[in-house]
Amino acid sequence: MATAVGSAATLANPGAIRSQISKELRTKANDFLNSRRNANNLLDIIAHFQHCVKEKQSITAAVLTLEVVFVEVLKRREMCIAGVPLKPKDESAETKYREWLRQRYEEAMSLILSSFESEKPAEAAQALVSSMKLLAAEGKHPLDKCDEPCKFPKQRLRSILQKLVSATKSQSTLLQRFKEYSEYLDVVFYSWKLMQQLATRAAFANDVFACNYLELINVLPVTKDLHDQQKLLCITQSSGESSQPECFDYAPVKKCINKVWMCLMQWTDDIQEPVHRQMLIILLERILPHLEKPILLTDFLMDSLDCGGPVSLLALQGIFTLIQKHNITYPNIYEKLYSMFEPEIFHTKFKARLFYLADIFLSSTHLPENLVAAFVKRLARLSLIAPPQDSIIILHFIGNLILRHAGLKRLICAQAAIEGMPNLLKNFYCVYISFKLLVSRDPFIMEERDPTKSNALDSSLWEVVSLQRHAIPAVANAARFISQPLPTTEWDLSSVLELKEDDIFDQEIAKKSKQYALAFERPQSLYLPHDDKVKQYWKLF
Amino acid sequence: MAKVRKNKKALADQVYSKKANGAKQTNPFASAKPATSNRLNPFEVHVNKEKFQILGRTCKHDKGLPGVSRAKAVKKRKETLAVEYQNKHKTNKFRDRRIGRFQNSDQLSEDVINARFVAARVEQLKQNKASRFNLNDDDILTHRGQTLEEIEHFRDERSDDEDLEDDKLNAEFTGAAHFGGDSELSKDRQSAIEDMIAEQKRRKIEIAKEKDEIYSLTEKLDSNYKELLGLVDKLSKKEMLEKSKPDDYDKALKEMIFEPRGVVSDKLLSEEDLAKQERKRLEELEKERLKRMHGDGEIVDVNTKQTEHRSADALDDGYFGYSVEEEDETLAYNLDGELGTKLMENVSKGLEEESVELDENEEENEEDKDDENSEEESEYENDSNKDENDDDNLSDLKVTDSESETEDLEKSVHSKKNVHIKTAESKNDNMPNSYINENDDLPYTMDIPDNYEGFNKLLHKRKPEEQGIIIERLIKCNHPKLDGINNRDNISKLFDFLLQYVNELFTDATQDDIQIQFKILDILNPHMYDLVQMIPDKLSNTLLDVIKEKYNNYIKNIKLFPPLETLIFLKLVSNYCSTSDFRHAVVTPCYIFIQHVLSKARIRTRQEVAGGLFLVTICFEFSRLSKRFLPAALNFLLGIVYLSIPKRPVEVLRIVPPFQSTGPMSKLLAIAEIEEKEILNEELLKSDDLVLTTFSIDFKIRALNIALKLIKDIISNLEENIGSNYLAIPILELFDRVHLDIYPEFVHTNFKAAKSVLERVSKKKLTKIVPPEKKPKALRLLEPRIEVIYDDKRRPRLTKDKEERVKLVHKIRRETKGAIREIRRDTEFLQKMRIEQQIQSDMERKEKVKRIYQEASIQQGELNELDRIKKKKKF
Repeated sequence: MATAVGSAATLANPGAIRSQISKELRTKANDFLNSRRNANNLLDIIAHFQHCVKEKQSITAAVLTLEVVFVEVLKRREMCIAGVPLKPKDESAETKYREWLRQRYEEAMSLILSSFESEKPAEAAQALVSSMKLLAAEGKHPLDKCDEPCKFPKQRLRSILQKLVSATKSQSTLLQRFKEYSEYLDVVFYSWKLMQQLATRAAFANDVFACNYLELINVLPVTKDLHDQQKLLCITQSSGESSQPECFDYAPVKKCINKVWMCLMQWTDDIQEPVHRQMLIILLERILPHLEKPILLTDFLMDSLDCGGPVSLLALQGIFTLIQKHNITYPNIYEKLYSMFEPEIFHTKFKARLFYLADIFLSSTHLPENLVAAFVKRLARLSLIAPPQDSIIILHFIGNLILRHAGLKRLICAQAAIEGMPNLLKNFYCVYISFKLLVSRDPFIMEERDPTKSNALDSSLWEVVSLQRHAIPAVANAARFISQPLPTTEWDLSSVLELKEDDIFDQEIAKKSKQYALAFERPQSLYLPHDDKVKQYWKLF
Repeated sequence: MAKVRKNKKALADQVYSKKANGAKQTNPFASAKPATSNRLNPFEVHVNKEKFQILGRTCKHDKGLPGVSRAKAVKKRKETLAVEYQNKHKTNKFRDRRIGRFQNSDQLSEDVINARFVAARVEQLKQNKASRFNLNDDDILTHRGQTLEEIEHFRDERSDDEDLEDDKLNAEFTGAAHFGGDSELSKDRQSAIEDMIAEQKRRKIEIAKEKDEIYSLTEKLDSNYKELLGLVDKLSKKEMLEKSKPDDYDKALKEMIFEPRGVVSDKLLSEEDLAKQERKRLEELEKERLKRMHGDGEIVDVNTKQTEHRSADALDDGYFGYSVEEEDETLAYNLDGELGTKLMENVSKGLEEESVELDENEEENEEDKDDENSEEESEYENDSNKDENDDDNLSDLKVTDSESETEDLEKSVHSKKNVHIKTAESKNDNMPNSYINENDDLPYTMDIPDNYEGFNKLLHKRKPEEQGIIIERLIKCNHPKLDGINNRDNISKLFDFLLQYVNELFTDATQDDIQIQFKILDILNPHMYDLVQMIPDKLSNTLLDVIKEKYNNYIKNIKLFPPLETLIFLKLVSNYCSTSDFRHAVVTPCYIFIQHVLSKARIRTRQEVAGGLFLVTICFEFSRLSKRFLPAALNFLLGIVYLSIPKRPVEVLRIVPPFQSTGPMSKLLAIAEIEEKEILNEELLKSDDLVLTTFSIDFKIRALNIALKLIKDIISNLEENIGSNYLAIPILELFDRVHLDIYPEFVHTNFKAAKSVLERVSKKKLTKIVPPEKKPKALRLLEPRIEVIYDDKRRPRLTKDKEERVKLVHKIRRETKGAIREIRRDTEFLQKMRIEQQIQSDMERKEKVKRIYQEASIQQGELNELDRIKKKKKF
């Protein structure tokens, strides 16, 4: 039969054939369900499935057919074997048939699971959906004990999860699909219970596995919503029961989460940078609120902080949370933050996060002025090499810092000390001051690691003044704030944090100034009549 | 009778005036009296206060004399209304004709009339005791309540005569009929009346006849006069009407009359004037450019900052939407004492249009006045210009010839297509070797092809020079001056084609043809410039669209360096637009584009390095006047120096992306020891570098050399910038790592020059930032701001008829008001008069009663007397 189908497939065009095959499969499935006489049809379908897998043909139809068949079979409870302990199995044809059916079921299930690793994401997703539907059906109509309908098929879920955290292939798209089931409380509950068994230290050393595993954690958030809604995938008749067999409390889940994370913490010795980053992200976004003793994370976070780059940034955020909520003290946190402002930061994705964090860290008005001044100067230096959108953020940020710390006004207003003196004294002092205002070089030391020793307060914000001549008008306008009286309210950073180059481009296009000023000297050649720079450096023809 | 009266009146006047004169002469106080009468008694004067003094309006009612005018009014009423009132209900009038009673009116002699008058006077004097001794003849003779004087003013003798004769019956007849004066008139009444009617009719007919006669006589006189007039002017009506047949001359004359007159134009300018004009134009444009460069509120130097003249009404109350800048700038001297250098003109499009109008001659002048040209050069240019001019004239002539031809060619209006840039399929046909070598077959007039294929066919396989000529002729034939809208469309279409052509020239350009493509562009560029100047807005927008499209292509993969044609378009922007503006609709997006590429695109191949350097060059060209800087450009130059440094594997120099700090890509341009370093000459970067991918040693040296030169020039251009040391220091740090020994001599010199500039800049002294000194706030000089236009819109505008109507209604209302007031005054007057009469009659009655009582008491007394006497007698 399978060969017949296969040969047919080679003849006509694939679309028509596919529909033909699926029609054929459907009739076969119908026949099978209608009478037991056609039991062999099931074998045919499975064989076709295997054939498809071998020939790398579309398996969607076969998966769907199997799903339909077995959901129906499960509903009819045709696979239930009412085994009584200490009693020999009866050898009736019915029992045999049931056992045979169950074997086929396991076979089909393993086939479906194996197609999780199919190359086509649509097929893999179909396999996942089918397996989850079967799981749900099995939960509602258990295989074995007919009298206890509310048993969650843990083993089935376990095998599904095992396939999902494959060690060979990144399953991120499939996991995103799996996320749809994360609204069911029971799925999340049992997944977390199984989570710890899924991973081992050896397996976690594998990057792909680690990523999949972390992604799985990511797609299974335990939230308050989840517990409030009480949506269940498998168990529906529980209301009819006098005693609820299982309760999905938060406490056991929390315990599981803690256990899983403790294990993970032990395996972090030599993990790769992307995994490390992913771990921190998940820690920050998913795990941290559930941990019982977040203090234990401190070591991990501090180690991460020293790694540099985005990892340390994420670690910083973690530490910030710990400081804020769990009252830890961390020495030199500002130095760490200070050291994070490097030119490379503008080329990472976490730039916005850094500025956001720095804004929070520096929001206190009780910080020493020389520390904040060092930040201001360093940011100003960076703004000279930053892309325009970042320069704008930095300029607004600097403005905010100056607003918060009135003492920083001396960075843009060196003369503040003179005011309020008697006139005669002032005149003498002015001469002295004008002498003192002239410095041979910037007193600020960029290389100094310790912000408080960088002499920033003796400096001035020349960088911002020079940015007023930035080629891009948006930046030049943003830099103008220091020559004008400072506003009373701070600039809103959040509006500029997510700006990109093309946004600035679009903004400029949208400006729509109607005036197109033209050059007024007519060129006689490719070059400008005066002072053509291309001509100076290029010999084009 | 009237005559008599008149005479009498004249007599009376004479007497009066004589008396007055006499009095004047005799009275010693006569001279004092007019003085007082001239000087008005202030208590009698009423002054109407005037709210606004309005120029050009004479005011009649500024002061009035209420007493005098009231007296006048009363007097007038007395003469008219009072008379009428007294004559009310009185149909008859008693006239005393007892003197001379037996005479007809004809027979009345002067003596009789005089006697009557005297009698009347006496009667009057009897009644009015007050005027008994009044020597002045007070009463002025009136006729129907109006003084004779007044009547005489309006008197028309003739019509009066007619009236008299017309209506009234003959006095003789009346006298006879009514009073039976004529004794011999014994006929019966019937026949008398018939006679009278017949007589009347006859008279009427006579009069009518006379009138007709007079009329016809006047007519005749008039017509005679007209004839006479014709003789005098020698232009009879016939002659006037008669038209001579127009001959050729007349026809020509008429045609010339009806032809549109030539517009008055300025006189032809001499060379000098033209040069002056051109220089003025350039100066103005430069001034505008500087203004734009400093942009919206860029910190303007204190020297150049203008204090704007403000008027008192321009207080900052926010009522006036327009800014003060819109007003004319004030004339001011700069510090050097030169006048008018700060006179900023408002940016006007007119100038740009003017620039379009400039023909080749002016362009010639532009070159001529170029100071920097040496004499030989200018001579050479003159020659070349002459050639050009000849050529131009020819083609101009041709154009005018062809105009009539092209006119009947129906010009299809093409739907405007966007420049959809695509690679040409016929690229291979465009190989440079196979030029069509016929210069002669170039037609002088050409239409712009409908589609790009046609355009491409027109140009391809031509020599670059010929392509230039073709484009030039296309422009000439379709100049917007010739035929407004159509040609504007054509021009923009041509520009689209050219942009696409340029695009195709440079996509997939190879090492072999790149130079030729640049040569073609070199020739096309001036023409494209001309096109942009013709329709600045639209074509700039087209150019911007191209840039947008290129940018969208680029951001699909920002790691990929944009292809060569993108760079070329950026260069075109630099050629056509005013790149020094603070914010420019086309240039600013280009800046962002360049910035994005230089900071994000990966640098791996030779063409990417060269392309990056090209972008840096363009960016420098953009900012050479405005002295702005783009951090990414400097960073890129830093990266080029960095790439030239050979690094040991362990050594990691820090460098900002897109350059990588490790791996083979970090020393792309590093060279090992070379032998023939003495042979190598200094060279500029070549166009080949933009298309080749593999590195060669000489390219590496060239790239570093040019990067050094660029660093030197850019940094020295930025020297005024206060933060330039921050830009210089990182480069300077990297300079220490360059292995200079292996490079040829010219690199050494450039390196030293760059280094010295960098050191100079980095050691610049810094002045701490001090806020600009606050000037004491001057009090505002308050001056009225005169509203130029005052449009009172309280009343909507009406049509002419309605306007007239409204005026009339207003007049009626006023007149009614006046009339009502007059009537009120009249009644008041009448009441007063009536009451006076009442009082007077009462008084008379009382008097009479008194007299009666008196008489009665006398009688009684007498009676009593008699009684007493009787009693006495009894006793």
